[in-house]
Amino acid sequence: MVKLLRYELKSLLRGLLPIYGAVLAVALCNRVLWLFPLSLHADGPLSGIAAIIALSVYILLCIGVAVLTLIVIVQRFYQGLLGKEGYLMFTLPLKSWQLIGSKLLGAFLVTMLSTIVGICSILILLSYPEIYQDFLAIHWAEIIHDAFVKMPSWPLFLVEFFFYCCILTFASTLLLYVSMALGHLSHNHRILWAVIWYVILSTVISALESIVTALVPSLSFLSVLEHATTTFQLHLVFWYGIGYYLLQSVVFFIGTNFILNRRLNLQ
Amino acid sequence: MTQTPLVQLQQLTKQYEKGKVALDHLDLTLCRGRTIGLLGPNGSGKTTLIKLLCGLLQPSFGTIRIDGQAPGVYTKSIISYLPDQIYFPLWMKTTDLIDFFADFYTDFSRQKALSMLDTLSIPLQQRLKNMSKGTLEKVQLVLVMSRQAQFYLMDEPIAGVDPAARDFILNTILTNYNEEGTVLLSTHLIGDIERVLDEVVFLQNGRLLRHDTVDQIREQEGMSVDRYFREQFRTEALVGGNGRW
Repeated sequence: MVKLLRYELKSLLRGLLPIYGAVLAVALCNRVLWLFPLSLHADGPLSGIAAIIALSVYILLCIGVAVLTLIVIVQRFYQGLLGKEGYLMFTLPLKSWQLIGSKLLGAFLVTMLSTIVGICSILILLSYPEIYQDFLAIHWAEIIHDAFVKMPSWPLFLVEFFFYCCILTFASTLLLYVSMALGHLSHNHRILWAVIWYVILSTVISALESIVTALVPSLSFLSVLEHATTTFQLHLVFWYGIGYYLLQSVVFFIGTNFILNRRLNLQ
Repeated sequence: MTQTPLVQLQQLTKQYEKGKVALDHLDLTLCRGRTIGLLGPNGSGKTTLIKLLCGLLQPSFGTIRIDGQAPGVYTKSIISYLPDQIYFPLWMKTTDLIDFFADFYTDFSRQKALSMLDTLSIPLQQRLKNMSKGTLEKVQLVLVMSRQAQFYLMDEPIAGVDPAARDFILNTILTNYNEEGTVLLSTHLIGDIERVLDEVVFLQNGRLLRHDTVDQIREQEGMSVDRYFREQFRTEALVGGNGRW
């Protein structure tokens, strides 16, 4: 599994590393241009245009990172398992769940990396000495101490939030995977069918959520959040979300594995 | 050479969409230590059979047993498969592929692969996307033949290559395969491979037409396998392959 993940990451990052580099470099360019605070107004039209162009390129690149990450994740699953490369992967002496698992972990890691690169680029943009001085001037020890006094379990919220984000990423990725696997079952227009299955599954999930919360209003996420009065109940809200997306992930994973294991037809 | 069965197929059937039957209730037993030609005209079910043996397709009906087991992790560990198309990720370098095979196949010989690549003057650091189709096919063949597999499955290894390359491919197969293993070669270019075969399996419209040793066919029919093949399938060509004039 570790070996598979290594190859998967190598393949995923091959397409993403250049755009990561570009985002960080353009963020740095913007920061350098902002060293001249009056450039937009006082230094003439050229410097103003340069700053606007640099900022526009940065925003476009940030959108590009998000879109490209999604495209690369979809492409790696489709081409890697259901395309020609599937001949190589499905003749390895491995179980299909290991192949899906490595794709899923790879997709999760590059999603995290794209997020980290985005955060780093913002930190570069905001790298003013004043901001860091202000940041360091905050009495963090006191704030943390007060937080522990008021809500001793606050670090747990951070952990829960992290888990929530992770499991949400898994569920979203596996929804893409199961849609592509279902599309593979049709004889023609497999990509089109994968898109149709994605729309169908997303609609069915939303409809089921609406029906369930209409029948049992206390099960709705907002209702659970509204009625959470104690810290323990607030923690439960997170675990409620984690449990829900974990269930989705398990169902989608089993579905994808069943199709690739029992219904594989690489033609 | 032993008579121990390596592959046993019972009533193997594969039906594609719109009722197209690629394999029709095929019963077949292949023994160990043989070089077997899988022969038949286009559309006779050769590629389908190979893909079913590899686990890339699922049968509609019937059973497959390879070394006593259904296609799965074990059978994949003893099969070395050469498909009829380039299936490696083209961004990889030759050296990446060697690492890949060494990582996942315990019977892969890195030394053997390096030696064959050196003989062919194929650079290790060159990306596959920069190689010609012929060189890519050679890289695939080298990697597949660098395994000490029990069952080599080769789908049209000599189709679409020039006669010199055909000789190279056949010599590579003959001089590198595991002698305890079985080689199943699909082709319709019988004249080129007849000399290397022990047995032949003739498929016609997804059904087994004949499974015999090359010597037996020559003896009984009084002609080469190539000639016999032409005689058999000339009739089919005349009647349109469906038995109708």
